[in-house]
Amino acid sequence: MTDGTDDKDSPAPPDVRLEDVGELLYRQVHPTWVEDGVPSSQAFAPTRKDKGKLSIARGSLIAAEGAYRHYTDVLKLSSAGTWAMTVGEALTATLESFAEPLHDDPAHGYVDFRELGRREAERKAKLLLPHAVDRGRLYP
Amino acid sequence: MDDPLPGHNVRVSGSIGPFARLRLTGGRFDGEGMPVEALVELVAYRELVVGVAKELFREAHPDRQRVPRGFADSLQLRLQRVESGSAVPVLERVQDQQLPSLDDEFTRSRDVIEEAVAAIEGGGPLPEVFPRDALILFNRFGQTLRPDEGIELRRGSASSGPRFTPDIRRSLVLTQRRTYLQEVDDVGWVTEMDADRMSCRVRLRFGPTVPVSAPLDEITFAPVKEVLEPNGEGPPVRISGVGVFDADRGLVRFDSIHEVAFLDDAEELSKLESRFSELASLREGWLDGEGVPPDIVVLRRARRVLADLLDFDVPRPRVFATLEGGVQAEWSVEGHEVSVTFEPDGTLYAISVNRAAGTSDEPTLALDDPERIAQFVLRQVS
Repeated sequence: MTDGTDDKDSPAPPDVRLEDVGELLYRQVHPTWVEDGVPSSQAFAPTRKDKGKLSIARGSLIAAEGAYRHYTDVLKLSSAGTWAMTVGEALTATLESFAEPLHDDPAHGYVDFRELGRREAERKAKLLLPHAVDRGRLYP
Repeated sequence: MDDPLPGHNVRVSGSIGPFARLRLTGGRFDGEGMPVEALVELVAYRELVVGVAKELFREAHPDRQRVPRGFADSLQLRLQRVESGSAVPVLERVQDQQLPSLDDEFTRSRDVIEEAVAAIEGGGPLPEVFPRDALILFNRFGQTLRPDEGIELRRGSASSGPRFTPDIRRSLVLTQRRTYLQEVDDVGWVTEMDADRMSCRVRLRFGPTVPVSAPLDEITFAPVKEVLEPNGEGPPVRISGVGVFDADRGLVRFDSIHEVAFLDDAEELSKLESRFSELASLREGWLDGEGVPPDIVVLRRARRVLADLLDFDVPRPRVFATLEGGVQAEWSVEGHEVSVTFEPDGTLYAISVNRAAGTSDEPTLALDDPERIAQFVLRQVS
């Protein structure tokens, strides 16, 4: 059926683990999950529809503003701004991060919560939050 | 004038044994000793016994228009001791030793009160023997009980008895009336004041949306006047008093106000209230298509508990809706990320994560115990 040039039926390449511990991982936070300028820890755990993958934008490929613009203008989703932690900070919470480029979003990646239950994910999110808060909102 | 009945106009003399032992259980009564404010319930209990006894006397003596002179004074109860194992005040009866029998109206009154409480506790009807005109007297007895508290009525030296709770009290009062009295202790705002009529109108945090009227006296006049501002925009105050509750509509007015006190944390409370108003406005799919709006019961519960925490010097938390319809309060304190989640199923989930060590503490906490919740949060602070 294919002539070898059509890769639609080919298995997706494995996600690449991010190794640069200093790389920023941008996270958009919904306005309802921000009070007094501080995000909820819930914003740093995946929701049910995320299936264990906490979406982030890779700081090595996009700026905080670009990540915000893509999220709000292209994806038409709500964001109070861009916060960030690093690959290394996620690792200290024993969370690995992966690149997962999408057709319209080559900077897309995720922090891997797939093996964790709801409560364990909540614990991990509480370890990510202070890094994001210490760094402050990066955009706007 | 009616003549005193033999034995009813008595002098105080010796004890003739325990009349009743009122075992106070739950809430404030689970600790050591007996809270002094509970003494008012002993006074109310005696008034109830006397009141029911009067009705029993009238029924037994239809030819008499009133009870004998000195009838009420003839019931003399003394608090002899408070037994341990919850607080158990023992009321002993003192009486002229010349009286031959204890089987008088007061003893019968004690027993029919106990039978009435037992009947309602068991889901049955009010016993026929209980005088209907005396039901209103339950308005006083038990008025200070909180939802988790009760009074076990033990006659004489009995080792057990029916448990009189706020729900049973309400059922008894509402048997023949539309309204009942209940103590109120809440935060509210003064919206109007009428100095000529010595009254005001107040809106309570957990009361009806429409302000209710409240009488003023020499003590409450000044603080109410001080916080009154146009359009009810003055600072919130703590209001305690006795409210008149309708069976269906809830609080309809205040019968009396004991205290109007300024709040140390009025500004923080206002911010908390404002935040809850925001959460109450969330609609289905509030998080870009995901998210159940917070359940109204959960919101109400969380509002109450988190406001109570301010009284325990707990910092105002950041408050967020959860996707499942709950409410989560979060604190960042002294190297810990702490949260208390009011789940839609009525449970509470508390967690504290140590940022440096990555360890967590997840105690089981009860929703109706703000003191323990406060201890949990403050432990991280200290």
